[in-house]
Amino acid sequence: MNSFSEKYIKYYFIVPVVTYIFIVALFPLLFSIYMSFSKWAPGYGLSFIGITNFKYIFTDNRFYNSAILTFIYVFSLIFLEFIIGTFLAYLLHKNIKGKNIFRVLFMLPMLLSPVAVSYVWKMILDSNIGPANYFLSMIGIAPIEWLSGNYTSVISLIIVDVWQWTPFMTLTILAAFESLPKDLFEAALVDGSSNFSIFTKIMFPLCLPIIITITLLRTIDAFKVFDTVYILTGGGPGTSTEILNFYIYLKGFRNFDLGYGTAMSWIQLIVIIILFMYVTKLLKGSGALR
Amino acid sequence: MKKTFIYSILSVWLVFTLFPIYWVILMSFKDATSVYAKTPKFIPFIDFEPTLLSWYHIFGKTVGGESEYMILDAIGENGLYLKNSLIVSFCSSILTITLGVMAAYALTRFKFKRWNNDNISFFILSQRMFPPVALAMPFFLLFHFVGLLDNVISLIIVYSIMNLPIVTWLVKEFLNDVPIELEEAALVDGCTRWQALLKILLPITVPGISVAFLFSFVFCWNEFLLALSVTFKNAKTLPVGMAGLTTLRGPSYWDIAANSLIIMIPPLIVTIIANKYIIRGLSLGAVKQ
Repeated sequence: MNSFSEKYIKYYFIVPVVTYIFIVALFPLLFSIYMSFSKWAPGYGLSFIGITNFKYIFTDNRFYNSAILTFIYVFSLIFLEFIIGTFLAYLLHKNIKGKNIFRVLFMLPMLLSPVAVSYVWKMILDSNIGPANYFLSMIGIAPIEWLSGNYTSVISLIIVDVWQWTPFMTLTILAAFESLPKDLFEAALVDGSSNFSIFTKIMFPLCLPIIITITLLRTIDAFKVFDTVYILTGGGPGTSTEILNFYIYLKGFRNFDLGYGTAMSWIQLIVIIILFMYVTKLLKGSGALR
Repeated sequence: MKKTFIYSILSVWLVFTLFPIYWVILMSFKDATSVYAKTPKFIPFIDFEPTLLSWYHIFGKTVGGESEYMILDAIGENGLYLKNSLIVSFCSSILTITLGVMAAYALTRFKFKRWNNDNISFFILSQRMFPPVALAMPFFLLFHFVGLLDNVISLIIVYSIMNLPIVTWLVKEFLNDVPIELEEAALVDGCTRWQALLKILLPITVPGISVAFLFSFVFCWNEFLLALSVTFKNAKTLPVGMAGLTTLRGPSYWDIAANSLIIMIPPLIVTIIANKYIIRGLSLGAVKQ
Protein backbone atom coordinates (compact mmCIF):
# COMPACT_ATOMS: atom_id res chain seq x y z
CA MET A 1 0.00 0.00 0.00
CA ASN A 2 1.53 3.28 -1.00
CA SER A 3 1.49 6.29 1.27
CA PHE A 4 -0.47 8.42 -1.19
CA SER A 5 -3.58 6.28 -1.09
CA GLU A 6 -3.26 5.82 2.68
CA LYS A 7 -3.20 9.59 3.10
CA TYR A 8 -6.22 10.22 0.92
CA ILE A 9 -8.26 7.08 1.47
CA LYS A 10 -10.10 8.63 4.39
CA TYR A 11 -11.60 11.17 1.99
CA TYR A 12 -13.04 8.38 -0.13
CA PHE A 13 -15.21 7.55 2.87
CA ILE A 14 -16.29 10.98 4.00
CA VAL A 15 -16.48 13.04 0.80
CA PRO A 16 -19.41 11.12 -0.76
CA VAL A 17 -21.43 11.51 2.44
CA VAL A 18 -20.70 15.21 2.85
CA THR A 19 -21.38 15.83 -0.84
CA TYR A 20 -24.66 13.96 -0.61
CA ILE A 21 -25.75 16.09 2.34
CA PHE A 22 -24.75 19.24 0.48
CA ILE A 23 -26.76 18.34 -2.60
CA VAL A 24 -29.80 16.78 -0.98
CA ALA A 25 -30.16 18.77 2.24
CA LEU A 26 -28.19 22.01 2.12
CA PHE A 27 -29.09 22.96 -1.42
CA PRO A 28 -32.85 22.71 -0.74
CA LEU A 29 -32.27 24.70 2.43
CA LEU A 30 -30.43 27.48 0.58
CA PHE A 31 -33.05 27.31 -2.13
CA SER A 32 -35.73 27.79 0.51
CA ILE A 33 -34.05 31.07 1.56
CA TYR A 34 -34.57 32.27 -1.99
CA MET A 35 -38.13 30.93 -1.90
CA SER A 36 -38.91 32.95 1.20
CA PHE A 37 -38.21 36.14 -0.77
CA SER A 38 -40.34 34.99 -3.69
CA LYS A 39 -43.85 34.27 -4.76
CA TRP A 40 -44.76 31.00 -6.40
CA ALA A 41 -47.90 30.25 -8.33
CA PRO A 42 -48.61 27.01 -10.18
CA GLY A 43 -47.89 27.60 -13.84
CA TYR A 44 -46.12 30.93 -13.33
CA GLY A 45 -43.04 29.79 -11.45
CA LEU A 46 -41.02 31.74 -8.90
CA SER A 47 -40.82 35.51 -8.96
CA PHE A 48 -38.66 37.55 -6.60
CA ILE A 49 -40.70 39.94 -4.45
CA GLY A 50 -38.17 41.08 -1.82
CA ILE A 51 -39.15 41.18 1.83
CA THR A 52 -42.91 41.34 1.27
CA ASN A 53 -43.43 37.91 2.84
CA PHE A 54 -41.55 38.86 5.99
CA LYS A 55 -43.37 42.20 6.24
CA TYR A 56 -46.65 40.35 6.03
CA ILE A 57 -45.70 38.01 8.88
CA PHE A 58 -45.58 40.95 11.28
CA THR A 59 -49.18 41.83 10.57
CA ASP A 60 -50.46 38.27 10.52
CA ASN A 61 -52.40 37.62 13.71
CA ARG A 62 -52.91 33.98 12.85
CA PHE A 63 -49.12 33.58 12.82
CA TYR A 64 -48.82 35.11 16.30
CA ASN A 65 -51.59 32.97 17.68
CA SER A 66 -50.11 29.78 16.33
CA ALA A 67 -46.61 30.74 17.51
CA ILE A 68 -47.89 31.37 21.05
CA LEU A 69 -49.90 28.16 20.95
CA THR A 70 -46.82 26.23 19.81
CA PHE A 71 -44.78 27.50 22.74
CA ILE A 72 -47.56 26.75 25.23
CA TYR A 73 -47.95 23.27 23.76
CA VAL A 74 -44.22 22.48 23.72
CA PHE A 75 -43.48 23.78 27.19
CA SER A 76 -46.43 22.15 28.89
CA LEU A 77 -45.71 18.75 27.43
CA ILE A 78 -41.98 19.01 28.14
CA PHE A 79 -42.81 20.00 31.72
CA LEU A 80 -45.21 17.07 32.16
CA GLU A 81 -42.90 14.54 30.52
CA PHE A 82 -39.98 15.76 32.59
CA ILE A 83 -41.85 15.48 35.90
CA ILE A 84 -43.57 12.16 35.18
CA GLY A 85 -40.46 10.77 33.48
CA THR A 86 -38.17 11.58 36.40
CA PHE A 87 -40.67 10.22 38.92
CA LEU A 88 -41.14 6.92 37.07
CA ALA A 89 -37.38 6.58 36.57
CA TYR A 90 -36.88 7.11 40.31
CA LEU A 91 -39.41 4.37 41.07
CA LEU A 92 -37.94 1.97 38.52
CA HIS A 93 -34.46 2.57 39.87
CA LYS A 94 -35.40 0.97 43.21
CA ASN A 95 -34.53 -2.65 42.73
CA ILE A 96 -37.97 -3.98 41.98
CA LYS A 97 -38.91 -7.28 40.46
CA GLY A 98 -39.89 -7.33 36.80
CA LYS A 99 -38.04 -4.13 36.05
CA ASN A 100 -37.13 -5.34 32.58
CA ILE A 101 -40.72 -6.23 31.75
CA PHE A 102 -41.83 -2.75 32.80
CA ARG A 103 -39.06 -1.25 30.69
CA VAL A 104 -39.98 -3.08 27.50
CA LEU A 105 -43.72 -2.53 27.92
CA PHE A 106 -43.26 1.19 28.66
CA MET A 107 -41.27 1.40 25.46
CA LEU A 108 -44.04 0.14 23.18
CA PRO A 109 -45.58 3.51 22.20
CA MET A 110 -42.33 5.21 21.21
CA LEU A 111 -41.75 3.86 17.71
CA LEU A 112 -45.41 3.75 16.70
CA SER A 113 -46.55 5.80 13.74
CA PRO A 114 -47.98 9.13 14.96
CA VAL A 115 -50.70 8.83 12.33
CA ALA A 116 -51.88 5.45 13.62
CA VAL A 117 -51.52 6.62 17.21
CA SER A 118 -53.65 9.68 16.49
CA TYR A 119 -56.41 7.54 15.04
CA VAL A 120 -56.33 5.28 18.09
CA TRP A 121 -56.65 8.28 20.40
CA LYS A 122 -59.39 9.70 18.22
CA MET A 123 -61.38 6.56 18.97
CA ILE A 124 -60.61 6.69 22.66
CA LEU A 125 -61.42 10.39 23.03
CA ASP A 126 -64.57 10.28 20.88
CA SER A 127 -67.08 12.15 23.02
CA ASN A 128 -69.99 9.79 22.33
CA ILE A 129 -68.63 6.27 22.06
CA GLY A 130 -65.05 6.62 23.36
CA PRO A 131 -63.99 4.89 26.57
CA ALA A 132 -62.35 8.06 27.97
CA ASN A 133 -65.68 9.70 28.75
CA TYR A 134 -67.07 6.36 29.92
CA PHE A 135 -64.30 6.07 32.54
CA LEU A 136 -64.95 9.67 33.62
CA SER A 137 -68.66 8.95 33.95
CA MET A 138 -67.85 6.04 36.29
CA ILE A 139 -66.28 8.49 38.74
CA GLY A 140 -69.09 10.96 38.16
CA ILE A 141 -67.50 13.46 35.81
CA ALA A 142 -69.64 14.86 33.00
CA PRO A 143 -68.63 13.96 29.44
CA ILE A 144 -65.91 16.17 27.96
CA GLU A 145 -65.78 17.34 24.36
CA TRP A 146 -62.18 16.18 23.99
CA LEU A 147 -61.64 17.09 20.38
CA SER A 148 -64.07 19.92 19.80
CA GLY A 149 -63.52 22.22 22.78
CA ASN A 150 -61.18 25.20 22.55
CA TYR A 151 -58.94 24.19 25.43
CA THR A 152 -59.70 20.50 25.71
CA SER A 153 -58.50 19.90 22.15
CA VAL A 154 -55.08 21.33 23.06
CA ILE A 155 -55.08 19.17 26.18
CA SER A 156 -55.91 16.12 24.04
CA LEU A 157 -52.88 16.81 21.83
CA ILE A 158 -50.70 17.11 24.93
CA ILE A 159 -52.07 13.83 26.35
CA VAL A 160 -51.18 11.98 23.15
CA ASP A 161 -47.62 13.29 23.16
CA VAL A 162 -47.20 12.57 26.87
CA TRP A 163 -48.47 9.04 26.27
CA GLN A 164 -46.01 8.45 23.45
CA TRP A 165 -42.87 10.21 24.70
CA THR A 166 -42.82 10.11 28.51
CA PRO A 167 -41.22 6.62 28.29
CA PHE A 168 -38.30 8.18 26.44
CA MET A 169 -37.65 10.53 29.36
CA THR A 170 -38.24 7.76 31.92
CA LEU A 171 -35.87 5.28 30.32
CA THR A 172 -33.08 7.73 29.49
CA ILE A 173 -33.12 9.14 33.01
CA LEU A 174 -33.24 5.60 34.38
CA ALA A 175 -30.19 4.72 32.29
CA ALA A 176 -28.42 7.78 33.69
CA PHE A 177 -29.29 6.73 37.27
CA GLU A 178 -28.03 3.22 36.59
CA SER A 179 -24.72 4.52 35.28
CA LEU A 180 -23.93 6.00 38.71
CA PRO A 181 -21.49 3.89 40.77
CA LYS A 182 -23.24 1.64 43.30
CA ASP A 183 -20.93 2.41 46.21
CA LEU A 184 -22.09 6.02 46.11
CA PHE A 185 -25.51 4.94 47.38
CA GLU A 186 -24.05 2.57 49.95
CA ALA A 187 -21.86 5.32 51.38
CA ALA A 188 -24.82 7.68 51.57
CA LEU A 189 -26.98 5.04 53.25
CA VAL A 190 -24.26 4.32 55.78
CA ASP A 191 -24.13 8.04 56.53
CA GLY A 192 -27.83 7.79 57.34
CA SER A 193 -29.20 9.81 54.45
CA SER A 194 -32.84 9.23 53.65
CA ASN A 195 -33.92 7.82 50.30
CA PHE A 196 -35.36 11.12 49.23
CA SER A 197 -32.28 13.15 50.11
CA ILE A 198 -30.11 10.65 48.21
CA PHE A 199 -32.29 11.46 45.22
CA THR A 200 -32.23 15.25 45.58
CA LYS A 201 -28.63 15.58 46.72
CA ILE A 202 -26.81 12.84 44.79
CA MET A 203 -28.70 11.18 41.96
CA PHE A 204 -30.41 14.19 40.45
CA PRO A 205 -27.47 16.65 40.53
CA LEU A 206 -25.03 14.06 39.16
CA CYS A 207 -27.34 13.14 36.33
CA LEU A 208 -28.40 16.70 35.61
CA PRO A 209 -26.20 17.24 32.52
CA ILE A 210 -27.62 14.16 30.83
CA ILE A 211 -31.16 14.98 31.90
CA ILE A 212 -30.80 18.45 30.39
CA THR A 213 -29.35 17.07 27.14
CA ILE A 214 -32.26 14.66 26.87
CA THR A 215 -34.81 17.37 27.61
CA LEU A 216 -33.30 19.60 24.93
CA LEU A 217 -33.44 16.75 22.41
CA ARG A 218 -37.07 16.12 23.32
CA THR A 219 -37.83 19.84 22.95
CA ILE A 220 -36.36 19.92 19.44
CA ASP A 221 -38.58 16.99 18.51
CA ALA A 222 -41.64 18.48 20.18
CA PHE A 223 -41.34 21.57 17.97
CA LYS A 224 -41.69 19.27 14.95
CA VAL A 225 -45.25 18.22 15.87
CA PHE A 226 -47.60 17.95 12.92
CA ASP A 227 -49.10 14.49 12.43
CA THR A 228 -51.20 14.44 15.60
CA VAL A 229 -52.66 17.88 14.86
CA TYR A 230 -53.46 16.92 11.27
CA ILE A 231 -55.29 13.72 12.21
CA LEU A 232 -56.71 14.46 15.63
CA THR A 233 -58.07 17.99 15.34
CA GLY A 234 -57.19 19.36 11.89
CA GLY A 235 -56.22 22.61 13.61
CA GLY A 236 -59.71 23.07 14.95
CA PRO A 237 -62.10 23.89 16.38
CA GLY A 238 -61.60 27.18 14.55
CA THR A 239 -57.90 27.80 14.87
CA SER A 240 -57.56 26.71 18.50
CA THR A 241 -55.09 23.87 17.83
CA GLU A 242 -53.39 25.48 14.88
CA ILE A 243 -49.77 24.75 15.79
CA LEU A 244 -47.24 26.76 13.75
CA ASN A 245 -46.15 23.78 11.63
CA PHE A 246 -49.76 23.12 10.75
CA TYR A 247 -50.41 26.76 9.80
CA ILE A 248 -47.27 26.75 7.65
CA TYR A 249 -48.47 23.57 5.98
CA LEU A 250 -51.90 25.07 5.29
CA LYS A 251 -50.38 28.20 3.77
CA GLY A 252 -47.83 26.29 1.75
CA PHE A 253 -49.78 23.32 0.47
CA ARG A 254 -53.45 24.29 0.66
CA ASN A 255 -53.14 27.92 -0.49
CA PHE A 256 -49.96 27.13 -2.43
CA ASP A 257 -48.37 30.22 -0.94
CA LEU A 258 -45.01 28.45 -0.73
CA GLY A 259 -43.05 31.70 -0.42
CA TYR A 260 -44.97 32.83 2.63
CA GLY A 261 -44.80 29.33 4.12
CA THR A 262 -41.02 29.15 3.84
CA ALA A 263 -40.67 32.68 5.22
CA MET A 264 -42.62 31.61 8.31
CA SER A 265 -40.65 28.39 8.69
CA TRP A 266 -37.40 30.38 8.60
CA ILE A 267 -38.64 32.76 11.30
CA GLN A 268 -39.61 29.71 13.38
CA LEU A 269 -36.25 28.05 12.84
CA ILE A 270 -34.30 31.20 13.73
CA VAL A 271 -36.32 31.76 16.90
CA ILE A 272 -35.79 28.13 17.98
CA ILE A 273 -32.05 28.28 17.30
CA ILE A 274 -31.64 31.56 19.22
CA LEU A 275 -33.66 30.11 22.06
CA PHE A 276 -31.46 27.03 22.20
CA MET A 277 -28.22 28.98 22.05
CA TYR A 278 -29.49 31.17 24.88
CA VAL A 279 -30.61 28.21 27.00
CA THR A 280 -27.38 26.25 26.53
CA LYS A 281 -25.32 29.37 27.30
CA LEU A 282 -27.37 29.95 30.43
CA LEU A 283 -26.97 26.34 31.51
CA LYS A 284 -23.25 26.30 30.82
CA GLY A 285 -22.88 29.55 32.77
CA SER A 286 -24.62 28.04 35.79
CA GLY A 287 -22.49 24.89 35.50
CA ALA A 288 -25.44 22.58 34.88
CA LEU A 289 -24.20 21.64 31.44
CA ARG A 290 -20.66 20.88 30.47
CA MET B 1 -41.10 3.88 50.25
CA LYS B 2 -43.51 0.95 50.32
CA LYS B 3 -43.09 -1.62 47.55
CA THR B 4 -46.85 -1.77 47.04
CA PHE B 5 -46.94 1.99 46.41
CA ILE B 6 -44.18 1.71 43.81
CA TYR B 7 -45.91 -1.18 42.05
CA SER B 8 -49.28 0.53 42.02
CA ILE B 9 -47.88 3.75 40.48
CA LEU B 10 -45.95 1.76 37.86
CA SER B 11 -49.02 -0.33 37.10
CA VAL B 12 -51.18 2.76 36.64
CA TRP B 13 -48.74 4.01 34.01
CA LEU B 14 -48.58 0.55 32.47
CA VAL B 15 -52.36 0.44 32.07
CA PHE B 16 -52.30 3.95 30.58
CA THR B 17 -49.57 2.83 28.14
CA LEU B 18 -51.15 -0.43 27.09
CA PHE B 19 -54.82 0.51 27.02
CA PRO B 20 -54.73 2.34 23.64
CA ILE B 21 -52.93 -0.61 22.04
CA TYR B 22 -55.47 -3.03 23.53
CA TRP B 23 -58.31 -0.77 22.41
CA VAL B 24 -57.20 -0.61 18.77
CA ILE B 25 -56.86 -4.41 18.61
CA LEU B 26 -60.32 -4.72 20.15
CA MET B 27 -61.88 -2.19 17.77
CA SER B 28 -60.57 -4.04 14.74
CA PHE B 29 -62.69 -7.06 15.74
CA LYS B 30 -65.90 -5.10 16.25
CA ASP B 31 -68.77 -4.27 13.91
CA ALA B 32 -71.13 -1.27 13.82
CA THR B 33 -73.45 -2.63 16.53
CA SER B 34 -70.73 -3.16 19.11
CA VAL B 35 -68.87 0.08 18.24
CA TYR B 36 -71.98 2.25 18.51
CA ALA B 37 -73.39 0.46 21.55
CA LYS B 38 -74.53 2.61 24.47
CA THR B 39 -71.58 1.73 26.67
CA PRO B 40 -68.13 0.81 25.31
CA LYS B 41 -67.51 -2.93 25.07
CA PHE B 42 -64.24 -4.04 26.64
CA ILE B 43 -64.11 -7.82 26.68
CA PRO B 44 -64.52 -9.95 23.56
CA PHE B 45 -66.92 -12.95 23.66
CA ILE B 46 -68.46 -11.70 26.93
CA ASP B 47 -69.31 -8.07 26.08
CA PHE B 48 -69.61 -8.53 22.35
CA GLU B 49 -69.18 -11.07 19.60
CA PRO B 50 -65.87 -10.45 17.73
CA THR B 51 -66.00 -10.40 13.95
CA LEU B 52 -63.38 -10.50 11.21
CA LEU B 53 -65.32 -7.98 9.11
CA SER B 54 -62.66 -5.25 8.99
CA TRP B 55 -59.91 -7.78 8.33
CA TYR B 56 -61.80 -9.03 5.29
CA HIS B 57 -62.02 -5.41 4.15
CA ILE B 58 -58.29 -4.85 4.64
CA PHE B 59 -57.54 -7.73 2.30
CA GLY B 60 -60.03 -6.43 -0.25
CA LYS B 61 -62.84 -8.94 0.33
CA THR B 62 -66.53 -8.15 0.69
CA VAL B 63 -68.69 -9.72 3.36
CA GLY B 64 -72.36 -10.53 2.83
CA GLY B 65 -74.19 -8.04 0.65
CA GLU B 66 -71.56 -5.30 0.64
CA SER B 67 -70.66 -3.64 -2.66
CA GLU B 68 -67.13 -3.41 -4.03
CA TYR B 69 -67.40 0.35 -3.68
CA MET B 70 -67.70 0.07 0.09
CA ILE B 71 -64.45 -1.86 0.23
CA LEU B 72 -62.64 0.79 -1.77
CA ASP B 73 -64.14 3.35 0.58
CA ALA B 74 -62.88 1.45 3.60
CA ILE B 75 -59.33 0.72 2.52
CA GLY B 76 -58.58 2.84 -0.54
CA GLU B 77 -55.88 1.20 -2.58
CA ASN B 78 -54.18 -0.41 0.38
CA GLY B 79 -52.24 -2.85 -1.81
CA LEU B 80 -50.56 0.00 -3.68
CA TYR B 81 -49.86 1.98 -0.49
CA LEU B 82 -48.38 -1.09 1.18
CA LYS B 83 -46.15 -1.77 -1.83
CA ASN B 84 -44.98 1.86 -1.87
CA SER B 85 -44.31 1.88 1.86
CA LEU B 86 -42.25 -1.29 1.60
CA ILE B 87 -40.23 -0.12 -1.43
CA VAL B 88 -39.54 3.32 0.03
CA SER B 89 -38.62 2.08 3.51
CA PHE B 90 -36.39 -0.69 2.21
CA CYS B 91 -34.52 1.22 -0.53
CA SER B 92 -34.12 4.34 1.57
CA SER B 93 -32.74 2.34 4.51
CA ILE B 94 -30.23 0.56 2.27
CA LEU B 95 -29.05 3.92 0.93
CA THR B 96 -28.85 5.44 4.41
CA ILE B 97 -26.97 2.47 5.82
CA THR B 98 -24.40 2.61 3.01
CA LEU B 99 -23.77 6.31 3.56
CA GLY B 100 -23.96 5.97 7.33
CA VAL B 101 -21.43 3.14 7.51
CA MET B 102 -18.99 5.07 5.32
CA ALA B 103 -19.32 8.19 7.44
CA ALA B 104 -19.13 6.27 10.70
CA TYR B 105 -16.08 4.32 9.56
CA ALA B 106 -14.26 7.47 8.52
CA LEU B 107 -15.16 9.26 11.74
CA THR B 108 -14.07 6.44 14.04
CA ARG B 109 -10.93 5.28 12.19
CA PHE B 110 -9.35 8.44 10.79
CA LYS B 111 -8.46 11.89 12.03
CA PHE B 112 -9.57 14.80 9.87
CA LYS B 113 -7.27 17.68 10.65
CA ARG B 114 -8.73 20.47 8.59
CA TRP B 115 -12.40 19.67 9.12
CA ASN B 116 -12.10 18.16 12.59
CA ASN B 117 -14.06 14.97 13.35
CA ASP B 118 -16.35 16.68 15.85
CA ASN B 119 -17.35 19.31 13.32
CA ILE B 120 -18.23 16.69 10.73
CA SER B 121 -20.25 14.76 13.31
CA PHE B 122 -22.07 17.92 14.31
CA PHE B 123 -22.68 18.79 10.66
CA ILE B 124 -24.32 15.41 10.09
CA LEU B 125 -26.26 15.64 13.32
CA SER B 126 -27.51 19.16 12.63
CA GLN B 127 -29.65 17.77 9.81
CA ARG B 128 -31.96 16.56 12.55
CA MET B 129 -32.76 20.07 13.82
CA PHE B 130 -34.96 21.22 10.96
CA PRO B 131 -38.70 20.81 11.27
CA PRO B 132 -39.80 18.62 8.33
CA VAL B 133 -42.27 21.28 7.21
CA ALA B 134 -39.33 23.63 6.52
CA LEU B 135 -37.85 21.03 4.18
CA ALA B 136 -41.14 19.94 2.63
CA MET B 137 -41.65 23.18 0.72
CA PRO B 138 -38.26 23.44 -1.03
CA PHE B 139 -38.37 19.68 -1.72
CA PHE B 140 -41.80 20.08 -3.25
CA LEU B 141 -40.59 22.78 -5.67
CA LEU B 142 -37.31 21.08 -6.52
CA PHE B 143 -39.00 17.75 -7.22
CA HIS B 144 -41.58 19.68 -9.24
CA PHE B 145 -38.79 21.17 -11.36
CA VAL B 146 -37.11 17.82 -12.02
CA GLY B 147 -40.38 15.97 -12.50
CA LEU B 148 -40.06 13.65 -9.51
CA LEU B 149 -43.25 14.62 -7.70
CA ASP B 150 -45.46 11.68 -6.78
CA ASN B 151 -42.55 9.31 -7.39
CA VAL B 152 -41.15 6.86 -4.86
CA ILE B 153 -37.61 7.99 -5.77
CA SER B 154 -38.25 11.41 -4.25
CA LEU B 155 -39.33 9.83 -0.97
CA ILE B 156 -36.31 7.51 -0.94
CA ILE B 157 -33.99 10.52 -1.26
CA VAL B 158 -35.80 12.65 1.32
CA TYR B 159 -35.91 9.87 3.91
CA SER B 160 -32.24 9.01 3.46
CA ILE B 161 -31.38 12.54 4.57
CA MET B 162 -33.85 12.39 7.43
CA ASN B 163 -32.38 9.16 8.82
CA LEU B 164 -28.70 9.72 8.11
CA PRO B 165 -27.94 11.37 11.50
CA ILE B 166 -29.36 8.60 13.67
CA VAL B 167 -27.89 5.83 11.50
CA THR B 168 -24.42 7.40 11.45
CA TRP B 169 -24.59 7.92 15.20
CA LEU B 170 -25.65 4.36 15.94
CA VAL B 171 -23.13 2.71 13.62
CA LYS B 172 -20.40 4.95 15.03
CA GLU B 173 -21.18 3.70 18.51
CA PHE B 174 -21.03 0.09 17.37
CA LEU B 175 -17.77 0.60 15.47
CA ASN B 176 -16.26 2.25 18.53
CA ASP B 177 -16.84 -0.99 20.43
CA VAL B 178 -14.68 -2.98 18.00
CA PRO B 179 -10.99 -2.92 18.92
CA ILE B 180 -8.91 -1.17 16.29
CA GLU B 181 -6.14 -3.79 16.63
CA LEU B 182 -8.29 -6.25 14.71
CA GLU B 183 -8.09 -4.16 11.56
CA GLU B 184 -4.49 -3.24 12.08
CA ALA B 185 -3.65 -6.92 12.08
CA ALA B 186 -5.57 -7.35 8.83
CA LEU B 187 -3.82 -4.35 7.28
CA VAL B 188 -0.43 -5.74 8.26
CA ASP B 189 -1.41 -9.05 6.65
CA GLY B 190 -1.88 -7.20 3.37
CA CYS B 191 -5.56 -6.35 3.30
CA THR B 192 -6.58 -3.03 1.77
CA ARG B 193 -8.74 -0.62 3.73
CA TRP B 194 -11.86 -1.66 1.81
CA GLN B 195 -11.13 -5.32 2.40
CA ALA B 196 -10.56 -4.65 6.09
CA LEU B 197 -13.92 -2.86 6.28
CA LEU B 198 -15.90 -5.37 4.21
CA LYS B 199 -14.32 -8.62 5.40
CA ILE B 200 -13.29 -7.95 9.00
CA LEU B 201 -15.31 -5.11 10.45
CA LEU B 202 -18.73 -5.48 8.83
CA PRO B 203 -19.28 -9.13 9.77
CA ILE B 204 -18.60 -8.28 13.43
CA THR B 205 -20.92 -5.30 13.40
CA VAL B 206 -23.81 -7.00 11.56
CA PRO B 207 -26.02 -6.92 14.70
CA GLY B 208 -25.43 -3.19 15.16
CA ILE B 209 -25.99 -2.41 11.52
CA SER B 210 -29.21 -4.44 11.48
CA VAL B 211 -30.46 -2.42 14.44
CA ALA B 212 -29.69 0.80 12.56
CA PHE B 213 -31.44 -0.64 9.50
CA LEU B 214 -34.55 -1.55 11.50
CA PHE B 215 -34.77 1.93 13.03
CA SER B 216 -34.34 3.59 9.67
CA PHE B 217 -36.99 1.28 8.22
CA VAL B 218 -39.49 2.13 10.94
CA PHE B 219 -38.93 5.89 10.66
CA CYS B 220 -39.53 5.71 6.89
CA TRP B 221 -42.54 3.52 7.47
CA ASN B 222 -44.07 6.02 9.93
CA GLU B 223 -43.20 9.27 8.19
CA PHE B 224 -46.21 11.34 7.24
CA LEU B 225 -45.65 15.05 6.54
CA LEU B 226 -43.05 14.76 3.77
CA ALA B 227 -44.93 11.92 2.11
CA LEU B 228 -48.10 13.98 2.28
CA SER B 229 -46.34 16.92 0.62
CA VAL B 230 -44.65 15.22 -2.32
CA THR B 231 -47.07 12.42 -3.23
CA PHE B 232 -50.65 12.62 -4.54
CA LYS B 233 -51.68 9.35 -6.03
CA ASN B 234 -49.24 6.76 -7.32
CA ALA B 235 -46.54 7.08 -4.66
CA LYS B 236 -48.76 7.43 -1.57
CA THR B 237 -47.52 5.49 1.45
CA LEU B 238 -49.74 3.74 4.01
CA PRO B 239 -50.05 6.65 6.52
CA VAL B 240 -50.92 9.12 3.74
CA GLY B 241 -53.38 6.70 2.19
CA MET B 242 -55.00 6.22 5.55
CA ALA B 243 -55.22 9.93 6.31
CA GLY B 244 -57.00 10.44 2.99
CA LEU B 245 -59.70 7.93 3.89
CA THR B 246 -61.33 9.93 6.67
CA THR B 247 -62.47 12.60 4.27
CA LEU B 248 -64.35 10.06 2.20
CA ARG B 249 -66.48 8.35 4.79
CA GLY B 250 -67.98 8.61 8.21
CA PRO B 251 -66.18 7.12 11.16
CA SER B 252 -66.27 3.39 10.39
CA TYR B 253 -63.97 2.89 13.32
CA TRP B 254 -63.53 -0.85 12.84
CA ASP B 255 -61.81 -0.32 9.45
CA ILE B 256 -59.76 2.58 10.80
CA ALA B 257 -58.64 0.32 13.65
CA ALA B 258 -57.54 -2.46 11.31
CA ASN B 259 -55.71 0.08 9.13
CA SER B 260 -53.95 1.54 12.20
CA LEU B 261 -52.94 -1.92 13.36
CA ILE B 262 -51.37 -2.73 9.98
CA ILE B 263 -49.26 0.43 10.31
CA MET B 264 -48.42 -0.32 13.96
CA ILE B 265 -47.26 -3.91 13.53
CA PRO B 266 -43.72 -3.35 12.13
CA PRO B 267 -42.80 -0.76 14.82
CA LEU B 268 -44.11 -3.05 17.56
CA ILE B 269 -42.00 -5.95 16.26
CA VAL B 270 -38.90 -3.75 16.05
CA THR B 271 -39.52 -2.43 19.57
CA ILE B 272 -39.61 -5.95 20.94
CA ILE B 273 -36.59 -7.35 19.11
CA ALA B 274 -34.38 -4.26 19.36
CA ASN B 275 -35.52 -2.94 22.75
CA LYS B 276 -31.96 -2.86 24.08
CA TYR B 277 -30.91 -0.26 21.55
CA ILE B 278 -33.94 2.00 21.31
CA ILE B 279 -32.97 4.37 24.11
CA ARG B 280 -29.39 4.53 22.94
CA GLY B 281 -30.51 5.18 19.38
CA LEU B 282 -33.16 7.78 20.07
CA SER B 283 -30.96 9.72 22.47
CA LEU B 284 -28.24 9.74 19.78
CA GLY B 285 -25.74 8.14 22.11
CA ALA B 286 -26.30 10.64 24.93
CA VAL B 287 -27.25 7.67 27.09
CA LYS B 288 -25.58 4.27 27.20
CA GLN B 289 -27.28 1.18 28.51
